[in-house]
Amino acid sequence: MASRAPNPKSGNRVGAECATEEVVIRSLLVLLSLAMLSSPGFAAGLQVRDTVLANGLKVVVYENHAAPVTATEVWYRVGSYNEQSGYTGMSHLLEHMMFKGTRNYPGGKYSELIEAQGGRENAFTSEHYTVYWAELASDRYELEMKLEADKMANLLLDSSEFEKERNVVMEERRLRENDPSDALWESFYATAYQTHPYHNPVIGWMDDLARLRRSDLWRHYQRFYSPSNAVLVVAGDVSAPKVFAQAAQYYGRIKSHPVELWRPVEPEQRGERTVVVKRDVQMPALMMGWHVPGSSDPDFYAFEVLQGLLMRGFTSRLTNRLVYSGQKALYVWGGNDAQTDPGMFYIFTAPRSTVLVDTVVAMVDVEMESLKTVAVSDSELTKVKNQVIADFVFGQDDNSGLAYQIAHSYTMYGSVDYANEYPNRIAAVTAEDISRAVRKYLTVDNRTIGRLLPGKAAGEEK
Amino acid sequence: MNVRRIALILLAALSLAVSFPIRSDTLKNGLLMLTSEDHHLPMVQLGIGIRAGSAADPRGQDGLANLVARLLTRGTLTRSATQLNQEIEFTGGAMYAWADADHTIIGIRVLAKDIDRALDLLTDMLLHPAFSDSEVARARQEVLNEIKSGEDDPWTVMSRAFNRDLFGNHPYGRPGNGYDSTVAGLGRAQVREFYETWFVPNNCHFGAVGDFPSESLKAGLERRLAGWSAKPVPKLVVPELPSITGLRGRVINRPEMNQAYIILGHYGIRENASDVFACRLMNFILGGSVFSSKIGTAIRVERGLAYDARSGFDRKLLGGSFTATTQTRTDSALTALNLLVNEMTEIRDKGITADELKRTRDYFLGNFPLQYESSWDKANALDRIALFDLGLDYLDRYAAKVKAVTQEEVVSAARNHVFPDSYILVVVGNLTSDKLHIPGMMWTK
Repeated sequence: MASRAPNPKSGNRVGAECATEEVVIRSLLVLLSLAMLSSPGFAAGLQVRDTVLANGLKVVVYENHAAPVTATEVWYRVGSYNEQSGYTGMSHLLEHMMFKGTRNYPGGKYSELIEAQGGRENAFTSEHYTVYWAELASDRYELEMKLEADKMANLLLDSSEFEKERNVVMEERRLRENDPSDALWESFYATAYQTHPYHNPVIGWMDDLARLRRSDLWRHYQRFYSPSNAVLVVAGDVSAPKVFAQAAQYYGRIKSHPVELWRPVEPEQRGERTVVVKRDVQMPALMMGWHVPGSSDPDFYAFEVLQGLLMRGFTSRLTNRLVYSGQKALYVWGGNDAQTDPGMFYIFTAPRSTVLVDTVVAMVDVEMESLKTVAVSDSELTKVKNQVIADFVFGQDDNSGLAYQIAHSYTMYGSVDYANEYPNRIAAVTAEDISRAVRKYLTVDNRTIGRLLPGKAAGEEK
Repeated sequence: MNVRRIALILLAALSLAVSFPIRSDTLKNGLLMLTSEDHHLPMVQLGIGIRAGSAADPRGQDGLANLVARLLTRGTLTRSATQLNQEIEFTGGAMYAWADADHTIIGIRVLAKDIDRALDLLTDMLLHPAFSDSEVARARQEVLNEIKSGEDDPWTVMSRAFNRDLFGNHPYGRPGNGYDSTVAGLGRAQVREFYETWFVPNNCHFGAVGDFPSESLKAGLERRLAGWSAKPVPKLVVPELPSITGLRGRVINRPEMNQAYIILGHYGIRENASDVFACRLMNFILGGSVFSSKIGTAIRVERGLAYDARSGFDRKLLGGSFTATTQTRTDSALTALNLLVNEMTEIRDKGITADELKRTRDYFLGNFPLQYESSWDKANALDRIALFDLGLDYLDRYAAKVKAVTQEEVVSAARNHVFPDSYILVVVGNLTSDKLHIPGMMWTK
């Protein structure tokens, strides 16, 4: 019955089920062993074991014997990033269809079997990956291995199920349309990106959803659901050799094919963009974002630190200036959403009234100007780095957090090294790095501003 | 491999129920202390529960408990709001405080090396909150803005209306963050009085999970809380719940929406009700999982009418509610609503099969270890055990309680606690009540 807090990733992560509302903030999870520079037991980072099956499936195991439970995840390298205009939402609709039966386990048998073992199962789709996960007691995780392998090879994509599930996804989309913050989020990205697929929402445009055919999804499945385009991670109370053997048994026979991945590039933004969304709301909202580089650029890590400096916790700069001492906004959150590709450094906030919207923009500008010229203090930098250290430990408190962190690193970067190097890269960021990155990227010409403002729909103004 | 073989293989393993160790102490001043040591990670989760939440808001001061909770992290007699938060955030830890209907929580999560600082801060917030006029004014304004913002969220609008229509003048009928008119009148004096009345050791419990030795934690807490003394706590007097007869409904018209948000329900059970397990198993079958429950199947799986459709018991200290909810496009509102009511009727009339009971029992037993995996989960369990007085052996008895539930008890639970002929309905969307033809419904304007 509680009202729902704004979900940082609500705009670009969609799931098959709403029961577990996941708020997984990548940057809070992909965190590592800086933590443990002072704690020898952790100094080497996450100790995983991996192997590659002959068909190319990467299998990764993290043994964690703290509790008799497991998290099993299969990540496919496919999401809205891999969709063409006119066919948006395919990856996510396919994710839904993966729960609608295979030749061996038709209908809703999959969920029925997992739930009868006390398991939790679900999935989500993002721009770059589609993830299927299940948590089970450790004496029975093999069931998930069996069933998920079956889904990789034997999906039915039944036509009548397809029609019903398309309607379910349209209802899921309508939930977002009825949430003014989500509406702003969607318009913001559609404005900040003109040609790159980040222009499109992961859930797809309603018009495209209505037009998609079963055969489109079938092609998508055939093209991307190859074992060579997937990563299997098991974290929990398991033994790695046993998991490898089970992976070979269940996944080993699935045929593989090369998956061609295409890398779209957004043209450079030359001049500020703005978008206004009008809704029948009491409170406005404001989103500001700048194009920033992907993870191969050293400045990427400066923005990872900057998100903590500006928006994490009561004492972060924007929370303090806008929300607490300034009392101009209800909340502020945001961060760096760049991954391998360039992305957005963004701020999402709710000014306390419409007349304050531009005041808040000006206050953000003042903060950015100060970052360009005044060095961030050591203690402020240390605070953010300490938060990364603590997150590393907190992130190991459950297997799903561990599995996510490991699978993300493998899926996007090919190994656990990204995750294990992350804290060292964060530790290396200096005040000068931050000023330089802000000067270079957080410019007016490179930014997009989205405003959610009160206003009746056209037909209602009488 | 076919389905039946898998089921057979797994049958043997089905009696799993792993609990975690809980130690109980009582401090000299009467404070109950529940701890669970867990040394696999260098972290700790600490919390204090105060047995007074928004249900303890005096009439006309709705929103008081929520305001008090918010102010707990806004400064003590020796630390400003910024200092207090800076101290915890610098360690990489986090703190929080909130009030629900039945209690208030202050919590901290830190690395194990910072436990002394965390205890210092936690007890400082508990014993010496500043409640300064300026912070009260600031927090009050925040709450007023949040109330306004809630008006933009159909789920919040729906829930507030439903609770009001169901619980009437009972405190559960009033929103936790209050109303504009009541919050505007709250000041330091009321905040202080709420605090003085309820924040006493014999009305609180302390919980800790993680990497610490319980003995020294107890000593450290005893020392820090030495000046905090027990005193009588008033008994919360709440009005009788109004009786519900027949069908009462309300439509809140929102012309911009393209879905109808539907909630219907009635009184439910308390957390410590004798048939709580039968009710929980029954509800899992009726509307617990959107993939496999009767409601999920009827509305989502078979007809594609909604993304979400479920039912549940909200089990509180002084009562609770049973609700069924879904959100569907405007023109299928009546169909979805009828399906919710239909499944409620069917489970009462037709009962459940032995197989349904077996699968549900297996779910509860197999799911048990997943419920207590993280420190957060465990700390939450300690809090509920203390708040609802469930007994230290609650988790140890869990499996036996689940296994003991019979088919007849599940059917009785449905017949005693699900009422398709007598409920409160709230619909938020671009429609009016004349679009929802429900025989016998009394519409409220």
